[in-house]
Amino acid sequence: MISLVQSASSPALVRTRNLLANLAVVFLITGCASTTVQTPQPGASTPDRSSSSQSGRELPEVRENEARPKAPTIAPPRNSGAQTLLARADTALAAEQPATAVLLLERAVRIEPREALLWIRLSQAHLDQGDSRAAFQHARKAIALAGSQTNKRTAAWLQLANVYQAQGKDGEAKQIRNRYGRSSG
Amino acid sequence: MPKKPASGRRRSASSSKKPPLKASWFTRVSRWVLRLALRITLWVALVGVLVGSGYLYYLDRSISKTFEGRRWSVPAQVYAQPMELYAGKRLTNAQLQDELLRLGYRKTQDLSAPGGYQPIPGGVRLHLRSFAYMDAIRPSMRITVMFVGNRLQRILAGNRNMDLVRLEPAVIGSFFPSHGEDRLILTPDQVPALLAEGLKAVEDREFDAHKGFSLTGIARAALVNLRSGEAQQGGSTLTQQLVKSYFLTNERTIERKLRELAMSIILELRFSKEDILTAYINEIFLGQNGARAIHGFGLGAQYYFNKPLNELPPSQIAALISIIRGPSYYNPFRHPERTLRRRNRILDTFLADGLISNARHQDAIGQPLGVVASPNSGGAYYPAFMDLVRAELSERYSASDLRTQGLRIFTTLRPREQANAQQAVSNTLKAIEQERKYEAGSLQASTVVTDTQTGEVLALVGGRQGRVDGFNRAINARRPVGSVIKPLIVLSALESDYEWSSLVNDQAITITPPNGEPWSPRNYDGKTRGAVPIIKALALSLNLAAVDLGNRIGLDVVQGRFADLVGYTPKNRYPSFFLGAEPMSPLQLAELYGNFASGGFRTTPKSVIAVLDEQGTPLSHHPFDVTQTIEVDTATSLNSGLEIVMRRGTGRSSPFAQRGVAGKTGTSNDNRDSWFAGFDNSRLSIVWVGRDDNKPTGLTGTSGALRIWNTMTEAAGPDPITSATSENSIAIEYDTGLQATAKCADVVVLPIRRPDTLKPKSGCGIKTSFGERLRAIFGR
Repeated sequence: MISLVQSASSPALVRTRNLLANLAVVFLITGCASTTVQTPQPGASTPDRSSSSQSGRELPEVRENEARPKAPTIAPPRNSGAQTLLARADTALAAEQPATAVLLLERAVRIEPREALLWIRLSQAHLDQGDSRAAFQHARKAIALAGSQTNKRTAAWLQLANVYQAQGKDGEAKQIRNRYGRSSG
Repeated sequence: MPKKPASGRRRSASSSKKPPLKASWFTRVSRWVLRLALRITLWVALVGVLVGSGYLYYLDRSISKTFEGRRWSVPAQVYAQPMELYAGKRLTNAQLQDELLRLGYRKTQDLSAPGGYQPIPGGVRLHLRSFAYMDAIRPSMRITVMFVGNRLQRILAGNRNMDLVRLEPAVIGSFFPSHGEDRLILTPDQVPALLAEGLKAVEDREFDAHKGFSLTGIARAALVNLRSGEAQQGGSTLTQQLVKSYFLTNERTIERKLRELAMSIILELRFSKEDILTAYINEIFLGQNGARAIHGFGLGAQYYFNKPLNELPPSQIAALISIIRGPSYYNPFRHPERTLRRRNRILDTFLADGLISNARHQDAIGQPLGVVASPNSGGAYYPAFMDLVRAELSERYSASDLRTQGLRIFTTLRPREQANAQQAVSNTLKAIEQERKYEAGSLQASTVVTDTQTGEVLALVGGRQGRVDGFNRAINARRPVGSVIKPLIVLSALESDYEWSSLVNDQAITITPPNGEPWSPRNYDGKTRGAVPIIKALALSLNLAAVDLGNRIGLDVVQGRFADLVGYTPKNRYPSFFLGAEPMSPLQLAELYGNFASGGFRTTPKSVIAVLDEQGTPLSHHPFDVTQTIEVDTATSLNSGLEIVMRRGTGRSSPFAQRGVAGKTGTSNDNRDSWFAGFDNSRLSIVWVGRDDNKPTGLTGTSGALRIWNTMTEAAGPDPITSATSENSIAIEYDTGLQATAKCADVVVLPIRRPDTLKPKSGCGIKTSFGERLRAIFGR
């Protein structure tokens, strides 16, 4: 069990390093997603309103169609419900609200439990919260679920590399990146 | 003490005729007694005032404390998982309407207010209620949901397409105190005006004016009752009724009446009329449901009508008011006609007082009572699942927090899965008892259903009567698991040098462990089969082969893996562990099998997602907890073997045996316990069948527990396992473990890590591998 209230004690350096590492993965994966994920249409947005008045966790507006680096295509979650939640979780992650992202991603996993992409993001959200144990296990889970889907497997391994790096295991991180960084093109 | 003469004039007057000595003595004594009496009276009065003040102070403290305490003492509310709606979801129009009915939505043409739905060709229109979820607030809104076949096609709000909409979660229980009082607390603005005004009109006309008691009220009640010849009205004010309700006692004494009166006056002096009326609405006793006392109109509306109070029409508000006078006498479930008559009289009062129009009165009078079918069919109530929630929360929240802090607890329960599981248990046990001519009710069963990937508990059945808060067999009954344990031995073998094709000895054996009795296990059919491949030994659940394999691997190794997978060491340290002589609860078994079903991750079954305080601020989030315990390839391989158990072995009688499901049956000694553990892509289910007195049932895992699983899977719809086919999947002969093809032998296809070690079946035209040829040459 973890508290939803984020720990303010994580050292700035670790945070910055995590952020950079995560941004790399965000770019890699959301970049992929943007080529294939059908993003919510303006006005067709979600009925759930962030309960900012209650918890102070207001989500910023989703900005789609921003220029992103080219990356291999990763198939999005199969159903629209999980897609929508993934898009919202990405927004929360970008806004440094990993606790909100975990709630949204777990909700998405309940809809599509075997979608590796959701577990990759969960790993990232846990890492952002400073929980590298959960981040590690969620990345392992993503690798297991990715199976033979090459791009998802690559993304999952690279997320594991991020976890290793955050744990100070630079050697392991480098080894994974050497192996999967190139193949991700 | 005699006083001196007051003046000289009196002395001179009295000196002429001296008063008799006797009279003077009498007068003095009289005066003294009088003065003494006066003093005593004064003292008594003084003490009386002091004691009286003290008593009043006590009454004041007592009533104020109770009033304030009850006002803020709110049992935690527990919610199920809300149903998510999105395009492409596997859901039929009928299933959605079922869910809406479960949530208390009413079928209506008028969708102007939340809580109604209207079937249309190919779909349904509905007016969703607003709800504060753990991550967001969803305002009430009107949507249209369309279906094509058994899939949800799209969701529209006006003419906008919606990607994702949640229904509200069902309330599945609350943590009410041991004295049983359960309630849903309403704030004054949540109280419908008709209820507030109606209560005054029926129960206490002078409420707005009186100071806690009403002489005219008493007189009017007496008159009405005299005229009608029955106790139609009481003389107590709402305030007096509230006080009486706080200190539940049937004692009818003057002293109690006076105390109530004093407390009522104190309440009126201390609190506003609005506070008192709201407290009354939240407090008044409205019925009894087993150990649970239904207090207040908020819970009353849920209990009797399965709806929020603000959605009740006048007829149902009047029905609730009618219950106050005697929740037992006017019990709508037991005495519907009597309650209906009183409800109609109350509706007449509403009309006479101008609270409702003629038209609404006419409409309301024509309505049936409208209570839910039975006391338990309304607001869902799942005591077995709640046990799990309670156990999980006890680590973090005190019992007092749960009973009084108004916490909102979001859980993993899926009411539809729960209803399926409960129904499967009840119906199957009944059928088995009838077929085998067993005494009705002699069998018991329990099940746990979890999500294979997250370990979240979707349903938990503690016994055949789901609504009864009794012994929870899913959590607390630990019974020997029999052959259900065998996949653990196979896992340990696959993690060593063994393959599915490896041969084990299915032959009689006697083991005498150090410090133990000699032990001679037997196969269920009493036969032995000699050398058999591991896959066949598992599929047919051969005991002797399992013991042989276990001995080869080592008890310590197998039990070490057990501890890795469930987090504790087994109790039985003897080889009989290999045959499942280890008592476990269905919940513990769900944890063990979760490792397999998830593809190699330990996911402790959990039921709580998050806890929020009364204001909606998150207190704790309980995220997924996964830990890799088995290598992915090994887990995939084991699951392939468990699929063969269903296709070829003890699970083959299941109608889903050939549809990509995995599982294992288990039977304990003398058929006392019948087990089945099975999973598909999305659900893991553990089923136990047995008797509470632990007598033999005559059932095997196949003829008992598997049948319940079949019924559950039928209702939920199977979701075939989609594990990636291993590159090393190879056809081997089922009887011999030799590499073969379907053309030349009866084969099963399974992952083999080292194909070069396989021996080919002669006559199948399979070339011997280079490695095998080498081994043949060097004789290894």
